[in-house]
Amino acid sequence: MGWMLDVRKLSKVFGGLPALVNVDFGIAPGEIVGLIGPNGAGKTTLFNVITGVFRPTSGEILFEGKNLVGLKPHDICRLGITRTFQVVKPLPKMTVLENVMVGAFARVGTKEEAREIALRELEFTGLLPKRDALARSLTLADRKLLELTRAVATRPKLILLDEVVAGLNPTETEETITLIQRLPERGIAAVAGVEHVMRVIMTISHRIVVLNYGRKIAQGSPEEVGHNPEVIEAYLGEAYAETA
Amino acid sequence: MAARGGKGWRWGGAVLGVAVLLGFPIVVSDVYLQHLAIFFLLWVTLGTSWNLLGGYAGQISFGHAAFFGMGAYTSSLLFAKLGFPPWPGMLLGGVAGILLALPMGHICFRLRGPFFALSMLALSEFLRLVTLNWRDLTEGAVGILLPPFFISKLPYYYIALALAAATMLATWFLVDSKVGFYLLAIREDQDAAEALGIDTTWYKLVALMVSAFFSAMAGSYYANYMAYIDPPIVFSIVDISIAMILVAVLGGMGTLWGPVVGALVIVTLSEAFRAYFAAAHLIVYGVLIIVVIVFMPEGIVGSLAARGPRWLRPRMATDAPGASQG
Repeated sequence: MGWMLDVRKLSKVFGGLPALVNVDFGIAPGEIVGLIGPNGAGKTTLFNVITGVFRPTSGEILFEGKNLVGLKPHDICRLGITRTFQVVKPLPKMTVLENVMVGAFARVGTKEEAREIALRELEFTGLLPKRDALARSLTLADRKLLELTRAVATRPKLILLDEVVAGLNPTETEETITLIQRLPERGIAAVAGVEHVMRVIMTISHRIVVLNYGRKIAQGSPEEVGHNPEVIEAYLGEAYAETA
Repeated sequence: MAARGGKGWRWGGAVLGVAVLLGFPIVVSDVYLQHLAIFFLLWVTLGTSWNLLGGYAGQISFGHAAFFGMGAYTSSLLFAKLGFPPWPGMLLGGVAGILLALPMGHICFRLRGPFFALSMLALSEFLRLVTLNWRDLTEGAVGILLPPFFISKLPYYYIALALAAATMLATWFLVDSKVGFYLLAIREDQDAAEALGIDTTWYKLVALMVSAFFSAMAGSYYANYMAYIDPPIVFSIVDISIAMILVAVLGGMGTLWGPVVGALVIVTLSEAFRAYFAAAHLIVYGVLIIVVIVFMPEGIVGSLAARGPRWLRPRMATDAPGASQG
């Protein structure tokens, strides 16, 4: 298969604690993959290892054929992978527009160009009316949206979204999901990390990867994963898996 | 936001400001006031160069006297030992500052937390002790006596003015560009900055090098002007390193005009109180720090600007023409 991102036998051990164990998976260009797993399953660690925050203990990460192991987060961003954070990280004393311009500067050198890109992306995500607000004054939902806008402004080929909908109400969740669904038309693939197996994630994802205790326990279409006894067990316990 | 004819007002203000600065020593012939004006300009230079690194990039240094003293000793030794002309020597002093900044930044900026701030403190103390004890080279505690280069204060004044203006222009130029956005992003959140493609180590190093260059030039200037340096003066923690921080914090960190206001306040107050309290004038520093932190955490310019005209505001940058028209 023509994977854009190809993760092979990836392991990460903290002290004696294995956070990721021989994880294999791939992402094709323009694909939306749901990465689900209970709290502590290793989703954030996986994102941190792919984006260069942590070096993997073993394994390979190939992006368009290039090995990412050992590169810094900023190198990886320039190659085309960016991310959002589980605990949002706005640049609080800068305006919404300035936040997004910082992202846009990954591809352009002048303020005018960065501003143009930023305004366009703010329009895409619907944050344009709040462009002059300070990032620290935004609600959680808007901060998450700001992170997504900023990430898109770096012109990535792949965005890793850590806990995209955590803390959002149902309406905000729907809006975010709709936005993610539109990423492929911009030529952007996305991995949406979520804790709960939610209907919304199941409907937008082309594929689901399930992590539990640092291991990939299942992958496949949303229907396959939804009926996988191991997945049900991971979420609900053994008793339910047998009756499913 | 040039509404209300703000642009004309600004140009008028700028022309008036330049005229006042250029005309001051001609109109005001009092040598003592000229001396204070020179010190004001020196502190504008020092506060502005600390502010680029500490205020904009968020990398606090407790030991910028290291660069100041490095510049002072470089040009003074070049003159005393080799007869190298002292004013071009200022430039070499600045280069020496950069050479000192490179390894410091290279090592410290990979780490987060207080390492950089404390390493700078250690560096300036280290240099103070080296210059104090390496008598063959530096004359140790005896210090270096330079001949006075000009009788009149006018040339000194204009050189100080040029140095302060160059420092502010360099800051303005950097802050108003991609680099400025990147420095602010690093100050605000380093992880986010990295994820957005910013080589944080490199940009912090750039800010440090520019800051060190101008601080060291100011040190060379100080040596040429005072015609005497010794290690406790130019590597002073309180009178140089802390005072630089105070100028920036008092005026407003991360604002272009903050250090100007800060320098005005510090030079005026410390001069006024020196007359009455002798060495106890340092108490003023302590009181000022408390007052500013309690009542104006954004500094004088930062606090006023939040309510004042848009171009004064501490953030920067989208106040470029038409920034808010969308």
